Amino acid sequence: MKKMISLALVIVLMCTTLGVCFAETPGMRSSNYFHCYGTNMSDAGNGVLSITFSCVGMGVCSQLGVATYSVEKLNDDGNWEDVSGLLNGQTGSNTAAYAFGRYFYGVSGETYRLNVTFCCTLNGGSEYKAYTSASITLD
Amino acid sequence: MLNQQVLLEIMERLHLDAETEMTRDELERILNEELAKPEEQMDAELIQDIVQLLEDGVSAQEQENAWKATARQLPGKRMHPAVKWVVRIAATLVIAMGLSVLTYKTAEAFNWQLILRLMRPFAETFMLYSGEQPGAAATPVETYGDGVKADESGQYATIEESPEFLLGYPVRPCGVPERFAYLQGSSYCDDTITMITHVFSSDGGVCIFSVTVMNHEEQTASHQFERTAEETQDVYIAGCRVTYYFNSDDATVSAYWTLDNARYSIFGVIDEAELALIVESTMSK
Repeated sequence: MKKMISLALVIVLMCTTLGVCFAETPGMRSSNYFHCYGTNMSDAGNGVLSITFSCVGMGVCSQLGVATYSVEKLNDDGNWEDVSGLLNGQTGSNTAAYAFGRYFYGVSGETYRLNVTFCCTLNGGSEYKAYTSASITLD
Repeated sequence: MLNQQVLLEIMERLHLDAETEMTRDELERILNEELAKPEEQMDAELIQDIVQLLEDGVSAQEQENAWKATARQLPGKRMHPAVKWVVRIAATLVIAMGLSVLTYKTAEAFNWQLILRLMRPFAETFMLYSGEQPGAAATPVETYGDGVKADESGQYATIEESPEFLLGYPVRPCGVPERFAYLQGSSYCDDTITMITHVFSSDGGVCIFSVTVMNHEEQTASHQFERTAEETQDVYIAGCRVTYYFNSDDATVSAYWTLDNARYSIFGVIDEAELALIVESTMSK
C-alpha cells in the first residue's frame, strides 16, 4: 500500500514538473513594460570586458535601465562562479530607450557572462526582468 | 631521603606520651585557661610544660611536609582504560604529525626531492603542499573590478535633429503615418554600440523605432525580445528579411530585421501595411 502511494506521489510530482516546463514556452512570454533588453559585450584587450546594456520600453518610461548586475566566470568544472558580486546598474528617466556601458576588469583567457536585472516603471507600474547574457571569452 | 626522614619523625612522635598526642589547639586552650586564672591559682609547672610541649610540637611546616609525603605514597585516581587508550592514541598522533611536518618542512627547505615525493600525499591531505614546485613563481592573485564607460548621449525634440545615417546605415524612420506625432528621440554611442530610438505617439498608443549598430563585428550580442507574439511572419522588404510579431491582445505589431551590423526594431499599435511602409521607405534610402 505504501509503495502504491509513493508511486502515485512520484507520478503527480512528475506531471506537475512537466506542466511547469511546458508553461514556460517562448510563445507565452510577454511584458507590458519591456519591448526588448539585452547586452553587447566585446573584448577590450588585456583582460578587459566592454559591456553595453540596452533596453527599450513599451513607451516613455518614468524609469528604465538596469537595477543590478553581476559577472560570472566559467570554471574548469563547467560551473559558473560569481566573480564581481552584485554591482549597481544605471537607470534613465522619462525615456523610451536607455543604454549605458561598463568595463569589467577580468583575466585574459577566461569566459564570462552577465546576470542582469532590468527594471522599468511605466504608467505607475514596475517590472523587473532577470536576464542572463550569452558568454564571451577574452583573448 | 626527605620522605624517610619525615616518616621517622612521625613514628617517633607516635611513641611519645599522651600529652604529646594532644593537638596544638588543645594545648593552647589549656594554656589560655591556666593563664586566665588569678596569679595565686596558676600552676607554673603546668604552664612551663605546655609551653615546652608547644615549642617541641609539630609545626605547620612539618605538618605540611608530612601530608605531602603521605599523599605521595597513596595510590592516585586511576583513569578509565578507554580514556587511557584515547589519550595514548591522541598523543601518538600529535607526535607523529609533528615529526612529519618537521620532516616535510626540512625536506622542503633543503629540497630533498625523494622525501618530498614520498610525503606529498600526506602534505596534500593536511594542506601543507600548495601544488607548486619549490621556487616556482606563484600564480598572481586575480583581481576583478568594474569601471564606467565613456559615452555620448543625445536627445532630439524633432526628428529633423536626428541624423539620417549612422555608420552608413539609415537610422531615421520615414513613412510614419500622419496620425503619429513625434514625441522624443535619443541616441547613445560608446565603443561597443550606437543606438538611436525615436518615439511617436497617437491617440491609440505609441510607435517606437529603434536601431542598434554594433561598432565592430567582434562582439557578443544577446537580447531578449519580450512581447513575443503567438504569430510570426517573415517577409522581404527592400532586400531585408523582416520578421513580424503579431499580438492579438492589444493589437500591437512588432517587426525586427537586421542589415549587416545594424539591428532594427519597430513596434506599436499599427497595422501591417503601415509598418511595411515604414520599413520600405526607411531602408530604401
